[in-house]
Amino acid sequence: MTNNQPHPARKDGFKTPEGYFDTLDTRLFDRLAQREEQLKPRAKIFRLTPVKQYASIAAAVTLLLGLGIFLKVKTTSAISMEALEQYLEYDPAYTWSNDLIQSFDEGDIKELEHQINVNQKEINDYVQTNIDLDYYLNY
Amino acid sequence: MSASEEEQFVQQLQHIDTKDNAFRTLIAQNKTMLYYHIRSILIQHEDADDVLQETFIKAYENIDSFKGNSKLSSWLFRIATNHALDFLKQKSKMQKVSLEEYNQQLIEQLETDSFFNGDEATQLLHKAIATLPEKQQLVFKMRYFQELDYQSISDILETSVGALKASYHHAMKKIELFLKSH
Repeated sequence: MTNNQPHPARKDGFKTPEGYFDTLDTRLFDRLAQREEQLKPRAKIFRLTPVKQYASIAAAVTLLLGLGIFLKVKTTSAISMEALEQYLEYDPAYTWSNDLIQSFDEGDIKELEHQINVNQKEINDYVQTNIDLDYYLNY
Repeated sequence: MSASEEEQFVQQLQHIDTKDNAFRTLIAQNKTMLYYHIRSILIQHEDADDVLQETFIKAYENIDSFKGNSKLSSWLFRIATNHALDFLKQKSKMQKVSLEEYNQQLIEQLETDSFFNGDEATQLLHKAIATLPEKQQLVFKMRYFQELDYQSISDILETSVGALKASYHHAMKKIELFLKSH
């Protein structure tokens, strides 16, 4: 059934560009090589399910925040006012040992009273706008 | 090529060390017949070239699935026929016309096709073939243009020889009628 020779005068009237069949092998093997190149395995891409996507994002955010806090703590030489207040208000070790109170004497307290100039109007404004009065009145 | 020679040849095609050389032989033995078969379906040279290359690439990539249930050339013709018919359907869809209309358009373009040197009678024959149902077109082209015997066509199209003979007979009658009326 195979036929290597083109018909001299074809009944269908079709012809090809000059040398078409001579270059076919080369063009075919070039195309095959290109395809093989395209099909070469690359870095695997894992498709995550929606749940895994959210979990991954949350983990990444946590890691970044943790890293950010860690770096900030490591690189900040001066303690911020906020951190100090936090420590004084909530740190149980400080509350129990009362070491700061122990280190204050009468002179220090008098000096503090002198330095703090409290304006009554400001106190009223602050109480009205910031403190949950209902909580303090009922509990 | 005898059956045992073909079997040996298929083994060469399926073995990585001998595959490329054997494949060059496969191309050399089948390229002309396959090209004109595809061209008779697609009419335009550029499309036929594209599908011919795709046919050989498919054969190269799927040679391991060839079980030897038919001749290698029949297997190639089957790949080529299916691919060419799919290609034709895709093109007609893209042009938003029916398959028949698209076929007629292709035949109309033959007049200005630089890779067609048929005379007026040949053009008229192509017009007549384009009016036939798809299967009859295929059978007529394979028998009349490619001069394939019925058994080979039967192997490729997986249709009985009797049905093919009937199909060819009907096609001939319709073509005769068309030519007489034009």
